[in-house]
Amino acid sequence: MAKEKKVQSEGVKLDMTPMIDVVFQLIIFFVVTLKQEDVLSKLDAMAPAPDPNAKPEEQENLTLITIDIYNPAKNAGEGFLFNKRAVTLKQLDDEIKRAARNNKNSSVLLRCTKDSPHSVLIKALDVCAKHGMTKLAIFSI
Amino acid sequence: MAKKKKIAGEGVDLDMTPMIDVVFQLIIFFVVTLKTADTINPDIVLEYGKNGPILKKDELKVPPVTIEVKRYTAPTKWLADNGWSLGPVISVNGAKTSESQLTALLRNIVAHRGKNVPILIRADKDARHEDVRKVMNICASVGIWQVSFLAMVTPGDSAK
Repeated sequence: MAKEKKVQSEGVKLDMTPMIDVVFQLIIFFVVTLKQEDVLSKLDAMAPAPDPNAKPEEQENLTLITIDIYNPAKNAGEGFLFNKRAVTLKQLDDEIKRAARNNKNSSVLLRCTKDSPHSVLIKALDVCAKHGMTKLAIFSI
Repeated sequence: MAKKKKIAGEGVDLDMTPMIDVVFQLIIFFVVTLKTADTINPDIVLEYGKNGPILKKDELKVPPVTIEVKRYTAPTKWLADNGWSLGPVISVNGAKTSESQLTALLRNIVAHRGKNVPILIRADKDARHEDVRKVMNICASVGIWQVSFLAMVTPGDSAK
């Protein structure tokens, strides 16, 4: 009696279980180690000297706003003086908004004490950026 | 009746699956954990400032130089009240630099790339203004005027 010829691939099974295990492990690994990158903004700190050839009538319209930045840990308040008047961040926002409505080209003078935290300056610059005030000058006192 | 000749290797069953599993896991592990040297100081916490223009480094014509400023504060209030502080730490690309080194570095950058190099100051929110001012003065002394402060718009995982 002739024997039945054995087919070569008969009985070869591909076990998918380990592959699925590995794929799941990879997915979990990547999800856990995925690091979201910070979105950053940039606030201009210095500007080149103004154009000496600028028309004099443009300069005449400029008004000067002074924001003093101090260390709130040493004095009361949130660290801001708007035209020498202590204000909160919300009040500063309102004042800058009002000033921007009148003239966006007004110069804003930010005078910082040496020990003032950088965060207070950033908050003030952020408020200026919010209302489109771009003529800024930062001084140390 | 003739005996069936035994084929060499018959019945030896080497299961490669666990080995492949392990090799794959190792490869992936090393690829993922391979990390180039840190170029930013992870201790720096930025203040929020969502109204400034969003920083897109790819869109800058000249690659910026990021200078980091961090002031390590005293671990206890008593030490802080008594004036204990490690002082400001200025670093560029994760490497601590002194003021003279920073001046030399920026002079070198200006000599090679011109004065239009944008400087991004990544200062910790607790850094003092005098610390940041030092960096600004150095930039001004070498003729760089494009100086900006970095602020956080949305926090990633590094935000504390």
